[in-house]
Amino acid sequence: MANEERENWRRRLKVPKSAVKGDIITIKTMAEHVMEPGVRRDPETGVIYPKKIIDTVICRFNGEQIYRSQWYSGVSANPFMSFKMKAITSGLVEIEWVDDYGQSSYKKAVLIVYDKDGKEILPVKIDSINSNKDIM
Amino acid sequence: MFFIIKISFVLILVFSFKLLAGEETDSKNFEKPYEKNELKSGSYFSREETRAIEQDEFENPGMIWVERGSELFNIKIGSKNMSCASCHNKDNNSLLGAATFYPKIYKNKLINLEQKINICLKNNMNIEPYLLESNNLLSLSSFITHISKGLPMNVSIEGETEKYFQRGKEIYFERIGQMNLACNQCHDNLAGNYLRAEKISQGHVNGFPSYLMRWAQIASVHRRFQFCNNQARAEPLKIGHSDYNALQLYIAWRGNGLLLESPSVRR
Repeated sequence: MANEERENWRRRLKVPKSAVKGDIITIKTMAEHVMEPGVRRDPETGVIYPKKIIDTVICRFNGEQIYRSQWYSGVSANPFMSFKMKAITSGLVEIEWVDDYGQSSYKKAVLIVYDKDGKEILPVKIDSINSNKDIM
Repeated sequence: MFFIIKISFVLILVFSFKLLAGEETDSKNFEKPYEKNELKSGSYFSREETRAIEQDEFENPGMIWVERGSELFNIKIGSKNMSCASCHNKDNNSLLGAATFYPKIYKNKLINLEQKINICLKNNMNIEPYLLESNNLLSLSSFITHISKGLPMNVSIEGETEKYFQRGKEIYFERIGQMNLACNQCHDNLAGNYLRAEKISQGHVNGFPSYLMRWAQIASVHRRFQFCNNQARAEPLKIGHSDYNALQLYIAWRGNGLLLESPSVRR
């Protein structure tokens, strides 16, 4: 346990807990990562640190990809990224960070969207489910 | 009547002499380069964008370390199966305000917060102490400092500590390196001016452990001192050296009254 460096790399995601339909919300993400560009040398030995960066970030809303970005070696360490989204239905926000080694890490959060009357707008229509049940 | 006036006059004279004598004993106290109302934290001198990152709790990358620190604080490890939280919790031994007193005397030796954490891990929890400047130790220390965020710095320089304080003051005014620079030349005399693209701060340590963008990680005060020494082209001491502790004590005392703002973000 002691003296083990960077055992758990942290991922952070901030989504507002609730929103009114039509609002434009900001989603903030941060990943703890060295983002080693592959050009730096160890000052003592002269050995080049191998390249290790996050090269793909995928954002999904209810399982559908809504946002994807390709990163290259110019991105700073511990990259912070935020984007805006229009709130239409409640749902699950998922962010996936993929390394150039293929390792992926992910984080999720739930967004709840209300209409003006204070009713939650679900991504699936409940009426249709009920009607299905009736048929069954 | 006349006598009474005379006596009262004499009394006033005596009293005023006493006051003067009192002032004399006060003047024994050390002079601070900055009065309390002149004290400015490092964030005052940093750029607006940097300050914005620091103040937003999510955008501040230092909070990653604080989060990890709070996890480490609550994990039960070692042969005794103890966590830091089993001794230090809200009810007893709360660490609220603990970070404001460091560096502090422990068994006739001046130590800083990181060293104190290691001593606590070794003696009370019976586990191997972390390496100085390792990620886990910095996480713990930044978490503990973050608990007392917003409280004023309050280090004491009385008693045994005074010896170290004098040594720290000596180091602060000592010219070192190929550049022949002393700390006070920039941080006392030229604070607020530009040094290339950056403003010189007053050199307080209230934001440490702070997130330094140039290294993209949290750094302790001692690592920052090393960097300062490197820039004056002097040979830096080792992290955890007693001279660095003494210097940290002097600098912390200079800024007594400033509010802790760890983890701060600096360039």
